[in-house]
Amino acid sequence: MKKVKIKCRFSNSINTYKFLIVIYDCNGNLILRKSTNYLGYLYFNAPYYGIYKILVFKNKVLKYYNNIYISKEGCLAFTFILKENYIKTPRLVTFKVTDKIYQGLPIKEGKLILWEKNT
Amino acid sequence: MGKEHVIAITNGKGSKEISNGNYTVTAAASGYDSSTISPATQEIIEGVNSYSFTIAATGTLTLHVSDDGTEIGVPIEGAIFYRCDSEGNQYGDAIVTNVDGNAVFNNVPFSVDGTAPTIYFKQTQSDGEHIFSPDLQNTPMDAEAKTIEIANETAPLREFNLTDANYAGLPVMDGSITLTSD
Repeated sequence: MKKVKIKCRFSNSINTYKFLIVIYDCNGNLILRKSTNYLGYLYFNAPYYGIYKILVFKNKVLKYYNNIYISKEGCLAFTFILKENYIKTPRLVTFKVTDKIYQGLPIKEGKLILWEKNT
Repeated sequence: MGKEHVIAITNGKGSKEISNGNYTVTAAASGYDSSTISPATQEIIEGVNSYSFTIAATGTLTLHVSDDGTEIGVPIEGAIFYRCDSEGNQYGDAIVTNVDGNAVFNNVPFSVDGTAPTIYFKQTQSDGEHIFSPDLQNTPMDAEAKTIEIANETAPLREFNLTDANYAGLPVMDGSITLTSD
């Protein structure tokens, strides 16, 4: 098969477009490592039909990843709107636990356990 | 469920490095009912770095107020108490003694095995005819239901004089004085 030219556009909720994009094929071979232009566009040549993994970096931090499937009849242009909620960079979060009945009374000692949901 | 993140809580607060996402929340707090943690699920979102939870307990602490601090003393009705923290800050509604002299704090933490939570409280008022300690008091809550005795002794006898404002020293023959507390 001949190479398929794929057009991608990336943006986030605050209209930032400049991202470093790294693309692997389904075997983990590096296909592309390139930044988007200032409008968020990036073009690449898919060497064959199949699944490609798209990694999106901002300031060297992985912000988002997704797989795309390129088929003979499928889409040749993709738009990625990066939701802030999907950012997986850990940051310091403060948790407060108080008495439900005696409102505002802090519990003396204990622990809170957060179980990450598989979404 | 996915990966768990344990946050140690001291004096109602704890912090941890954690990423955005949806989480199921459980809790373990000394003397409290873990199933009452609320909310039970929490979404950690970008830009919000502080989250609040509440939890409830099922213990009952009864303060029995009498003129001599015993079970058989004369009960004092109308004495007012507040639940406090160890610093003396007040929380929740005022708890008032009933005709039997009982002020009942519901939903307090307790532990029958292990370290019993300390319950702090403060009396702010008596019935007007008895004296009380305004100091911060506490008791270890080592049973689901507990009663402790509080003494509000009879106030000392005071003498009040009512004289004529214009004829100094002339006592008013008949009348009464009413004192109303703040």
